[in-house]
Amino acid sequence: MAWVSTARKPSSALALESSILHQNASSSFLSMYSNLPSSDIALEEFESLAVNRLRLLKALEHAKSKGRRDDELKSTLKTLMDRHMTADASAERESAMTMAQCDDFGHHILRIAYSRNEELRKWLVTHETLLFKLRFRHTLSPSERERFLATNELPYEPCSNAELDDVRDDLVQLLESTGKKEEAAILRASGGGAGAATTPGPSAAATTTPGSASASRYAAARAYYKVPFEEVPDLVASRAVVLHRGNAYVPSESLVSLVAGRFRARLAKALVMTNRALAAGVWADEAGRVAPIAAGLALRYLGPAIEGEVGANSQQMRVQDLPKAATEHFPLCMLTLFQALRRDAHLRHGGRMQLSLFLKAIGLRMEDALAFWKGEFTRKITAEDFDKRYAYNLRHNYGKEGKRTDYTPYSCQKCLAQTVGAVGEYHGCPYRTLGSAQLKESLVENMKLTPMQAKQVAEKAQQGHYQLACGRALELRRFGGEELEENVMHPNQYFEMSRKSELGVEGGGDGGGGAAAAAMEVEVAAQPVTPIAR
Amino acid sequence: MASDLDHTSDDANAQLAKKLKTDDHGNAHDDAQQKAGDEIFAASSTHDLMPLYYRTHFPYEAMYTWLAYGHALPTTSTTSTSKQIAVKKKNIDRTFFPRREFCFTLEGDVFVRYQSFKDVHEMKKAIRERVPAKIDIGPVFSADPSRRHAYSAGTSFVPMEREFVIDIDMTDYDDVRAGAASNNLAASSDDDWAYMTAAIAVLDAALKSDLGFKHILWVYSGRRGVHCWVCDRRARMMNDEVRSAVAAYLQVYKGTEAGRARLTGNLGHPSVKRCLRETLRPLWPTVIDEQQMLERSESIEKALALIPDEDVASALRDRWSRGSKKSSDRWQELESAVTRAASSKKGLDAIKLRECPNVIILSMLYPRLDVEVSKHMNHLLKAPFCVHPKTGRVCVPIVDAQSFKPQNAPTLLGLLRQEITLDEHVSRFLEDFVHPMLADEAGEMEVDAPAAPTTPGGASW
Repeated sequence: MAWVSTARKPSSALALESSILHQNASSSFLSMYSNLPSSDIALEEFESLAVNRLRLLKALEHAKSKGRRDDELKSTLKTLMDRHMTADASAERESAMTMAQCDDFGHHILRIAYSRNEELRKWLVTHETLLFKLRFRHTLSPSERERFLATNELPYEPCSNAELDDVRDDLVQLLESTGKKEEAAILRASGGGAGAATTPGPSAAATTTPGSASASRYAAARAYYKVPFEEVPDLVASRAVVLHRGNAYVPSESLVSLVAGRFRARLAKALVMTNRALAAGVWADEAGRVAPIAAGLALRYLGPAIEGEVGANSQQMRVQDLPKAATEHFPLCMLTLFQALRRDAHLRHGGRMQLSLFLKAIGLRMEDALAFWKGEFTRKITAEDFDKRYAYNLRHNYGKEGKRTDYTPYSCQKCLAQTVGAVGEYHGCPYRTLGSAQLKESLVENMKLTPMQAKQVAEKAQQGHYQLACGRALELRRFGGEELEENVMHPNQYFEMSRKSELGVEGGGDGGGGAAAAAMEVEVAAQPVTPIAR
Repeated sequence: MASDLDHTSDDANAQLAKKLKTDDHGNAHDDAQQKAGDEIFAASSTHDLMPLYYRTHFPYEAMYTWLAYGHALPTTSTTSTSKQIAVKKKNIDRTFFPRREFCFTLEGDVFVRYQSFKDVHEMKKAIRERVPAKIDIGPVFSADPSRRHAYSAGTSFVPMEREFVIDIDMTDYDDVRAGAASNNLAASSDDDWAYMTAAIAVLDAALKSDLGFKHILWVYSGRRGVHCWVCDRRARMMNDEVRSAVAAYLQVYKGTEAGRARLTGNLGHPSVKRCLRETLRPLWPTVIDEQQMLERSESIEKALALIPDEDVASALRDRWSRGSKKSSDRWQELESAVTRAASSKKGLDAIKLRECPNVIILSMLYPRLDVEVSKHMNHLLKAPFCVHPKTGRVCVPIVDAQSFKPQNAPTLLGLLRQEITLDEHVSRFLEDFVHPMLADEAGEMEVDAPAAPTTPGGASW
């Protein structure tokens, strides 16, 4: 039952991916995960490693989305790593796995689980990169960083002082604009008369130019790395770096962005390749064993336990209760659609999809759904027309037509990804699609917020934190403004949280000390731990 | 306006046809008559004249030469003057051009996406047959777009490369530009063209000196805006993340809220400073005089709202409520008032005051990008040499941004009356833009030929 058997087979997805890797063993604990784990693990370990890794990443996501900055996450990171870079002991194993092994296995297992579609890949890449970045910044000493660069073949060498002359004025200006006056002065001084002081030899790397005064001043200043701008998109986007003729001049303290960029690019590529290999059936012989676990892991993320089947998450919803439930408990996205439907007796395709799948998941059965939609639509069109044009699609959403997939309701991520804009389209995430004024109006009118509260929520949306804005609206409306530990990730989750408030059951962690990690335990543990098979 | 006249459009067409006929005989016509003709034209459907345009004027060969990027098939009959720069035969990818998506907008706003053509002949045939009101250009996909259904979702049919594009529309300047209040849209935005001239200058400089791009094509959008196509191979290969980053880097103005412009990012970045110093400040006095920026009360308020000291602002408001000094003089008053006030303050307040003239300039004149267009490979943009259905103007490449005026753009009517031709525009498009770009392209393909990973470590997965 050892998982590693898959790695030994040259036909496995992982082995395929590894066959083109350079095979140097990484000595540092932080890793680019270039190599496959080479020891055996038991099947039950496979799952617990993955779940722990998932908990770690989700906790980071949570902490980050609460607006904590990277340097504030240092202690969180340590707690989380200690807690989650572990595996449940296996009977076959005598000594516990090291943290490094857990790290390695956990990462590689999630790659399999999260490779199957764009949404999952994007999530994994974002959060693995975040973890990597934090670890690079907070767990490595300068010398360890250097060693890391060397062992991972990241050939970044600081620019020579002469090379810096092209852009010295710009670099100084950028430092000054960010309030780093002293460093700006040092940098400027190291350029003064540098032409004379620096030996114009072919490889006059200033850090090693002996003896000259300007060189030593230069050495006291920061080093810059000259790289193609494509490697540091985040620094480019925030105008935190000087660009000159297609190169970015990255200061040493931003080296982490550079390395993380490489990490991100490699992981993204590897996930696509893993997916291709899986789709091509490379892994067919593992289908009965590991694949279901992997598939289950991916499902486990997609919204905290939001399932596709009718009423999987709630009790049955009756048509006559819908209006009240809508005004009380629907998130703004669904309420907007609901009201548009009632007003116009029509919704366009995107809106119908988004709303009907949501309604399905809050417990509206197919017969009731047909009755409800028909009731609304036939205020404008005939019943015959409705049956002909719309009924099929609704039944399709319930898995009764076509390829008979029981479709899952849209997550926030999916709503946010909708393209909206045509006249008469109300789907997508209103926190994103509505203009600030319109949003405030809607919050006051529909979510019953005060103008001040609406302003506060709209500000979050303006900054691009759509889900936080939505969560804030929920807190203000249902929890007296008290901060919830749980984030809004899914319209159906919002609905459940809102309903719980009515029943007097607090959602999320019960005010537990503010430690993001603790709250996440609740969220993830609330899902079945030995589930899987679809 | 157009809809009011819809019921008379048949009548108008008849008149137009008559008019065209007389002009064919070379008869002179007076200005009044010409004006009447243009109005009739604007009201009638451009669509009726498009078949003729596509039959005789649209530069298929030039478009193909551009979009094939050196992968043109040798059978192409090129015009005698154009020197054919092609990559070495073995490096020609015959599937390159056929993998490019085109989108036709047919009459009645029907979008037909995922059109693709084997070569210039097929493209020509399709355009002539279907007579699109608008042609959009999409990315080059991993496979022929017309056969995308043969590939499973999301895996094998993905965009592979695409020019980095920028879209700037003058409607985004409506809160500041003088002509926005006027009802005559086309004429008013012609007068406000200075904003586009500034936008081109700013972005062209940043794209070249910061990002290192060389092959940048600016195209008039046909009404009141410009499109930019960055065609360097490196730009075409950027993934969506990098595109978003570049868009964010170039985006300084981020909309207006409650009457105040919102600027974004580090405004002290050397690139922003350079743009102020070398482009915006030199243009500023002319533009504000032309726009009467500090003479119209609404735009005065827009500027004053950005001064962080209420006393300074109200003193200026007071002073400007009288007299009739021109805007550039008032601007000097503003600058000295602000400097004076700053000298009596300390710390952040002083800095904010001293920087506020720059903030005002950036708020009014910095290019207002529609960044969504730039962020994704898979975004369509109207092709050069389309005809704008409302104005009848041809979307010509802008070769000299300083002197370009939208009212001088060739019109469909002028072309069909044979008063003008597109020849000059097409040959400059080829000589100034396409050929230099292809020469570089051929060079880069040579280098890339062994298909080895170029970045150490980067491609090893």
